[in-house]
Amino acid sequence: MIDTLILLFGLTGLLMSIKSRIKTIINILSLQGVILFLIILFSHKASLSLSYLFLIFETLIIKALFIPSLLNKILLKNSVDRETEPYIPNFYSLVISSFILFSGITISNYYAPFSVNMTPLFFGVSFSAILTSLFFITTKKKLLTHVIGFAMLENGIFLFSLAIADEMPLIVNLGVLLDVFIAVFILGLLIGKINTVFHDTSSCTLCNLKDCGCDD
Amino acid sequence: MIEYILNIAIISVYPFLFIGIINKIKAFWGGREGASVFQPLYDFIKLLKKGEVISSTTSFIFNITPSLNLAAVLFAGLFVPLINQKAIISFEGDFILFAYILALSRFFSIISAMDTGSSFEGMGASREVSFSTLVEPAFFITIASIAALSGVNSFQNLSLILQNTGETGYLIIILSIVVIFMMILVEGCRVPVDDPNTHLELTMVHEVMILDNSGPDLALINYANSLKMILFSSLIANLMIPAGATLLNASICFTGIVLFLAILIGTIESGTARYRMTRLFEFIFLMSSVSLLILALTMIAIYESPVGVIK
Repeated sequence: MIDTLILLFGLTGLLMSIKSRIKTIINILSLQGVILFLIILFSHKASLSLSYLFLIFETLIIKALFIPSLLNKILLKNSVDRETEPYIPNFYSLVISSFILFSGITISNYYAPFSVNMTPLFFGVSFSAILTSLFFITTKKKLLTHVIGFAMLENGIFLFSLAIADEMPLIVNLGVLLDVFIAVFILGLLIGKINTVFHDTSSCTLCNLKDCGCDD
Repeated sequence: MIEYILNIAIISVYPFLFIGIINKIKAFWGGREGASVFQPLYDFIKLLKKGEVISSTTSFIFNITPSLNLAAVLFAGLFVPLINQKAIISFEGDFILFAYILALSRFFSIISAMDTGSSFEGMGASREVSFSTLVEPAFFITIASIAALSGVNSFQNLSLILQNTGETGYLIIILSIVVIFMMILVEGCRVPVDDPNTHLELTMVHEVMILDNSGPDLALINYANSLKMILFSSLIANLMIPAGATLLNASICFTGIVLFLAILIGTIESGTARYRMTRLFEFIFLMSSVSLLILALTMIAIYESPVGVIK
């Protein structure tokens, strides 16, 4: 069951690279949160502990509900265009992401022996999710898509850490949560601010920022 | 012996019913009563009785293509196990022959389309080529990974071993079903990829290639096309039907799965629009992506068991 869920997580990464509507991508991000929650549900047989409850809270509430709704709010508030505006066609994104996923799983196959929880599939999918999200960030123009890419990256790292979740202390979990919380919060504020100044949230505009004080 | 007779019966009857059911389901979702499920069969007979008009610019290629097309697909049908995991002909590596015979039929339909000298048909042929270059790797990667994992080199009994390999085997079966289902949509020229009902040449792929065919030729082409869909559906059925089923149970399962696929395709056609050309390549490449995942899973499974073949 866990293998199936992990593969589903990998497939959401591929789906993310071909969808051209921001709203759809946010929905997929929320789906990733749900998948992470299910992975936790199926992988932990231990009794209820604080760390376990925290993981459930983090995936189901923060990753599946809070961050997507925050991103949707930013989308509405700043009246961002619904297209993602990629630098390269989605077809090439899909080709590159699928090769990242394939080589991620294949290469991790040769890193045996793994621990009991960290199977090659686990390692490969989470590793390629991190690389795919980096690729996602670099190939999209909008600031909002960069934030989404960062949240994807977070999900990848989280999946990575789930393999050792039994030994992971609560403080590390808190650190992970704080990280993403601050990132989304600050970037949300930043986009709001940029919108009020420039009336546009494309990162293209940022290239043209210049010192305009010395007008001789 | 009875399995072979049943296989031949399926090859001759099911393609018409398959298309008939799809049309019926489309009519249902559209709130219409729709034609009878035997309508494709009536159309086939009607077209066979008609005469045909052949353009004077065409050569012998245009004349032989419909028959060659049907012969190739029928021949490919001999290798696919339809009922009870039994194919009419089976030998080591038959899936390679299967793929190449389908490629032969595609090749002839493409050059026949070019033969008419119509610019529309040339455009359709060009699209068909670009689709099939993306479809074939997916097919080969999928089937070859399954063969590598199960150690069986023919369609027959391919899935029986997979069903005994635990979670990895089931995952590979599910992903293969996804790949083959998308292949049905591409090869059968159904909606997200191509619209069988459209009469606007600019958006067509397969339909535009057969614009010049009429009468018995058109009947043969339509039959071959729906037979191709049945062959791919039976691959899905083979992956799903459990090992050791009796002939009766296997026949019921097979019919049920084919019926379900027809209903699914009809529902998809009613619910979605055709993708635009640029999105289409992403859709088709997604098939290769999934097949790459199958390959990766196979490598994990092989690496974990040192023998290479999971019993």
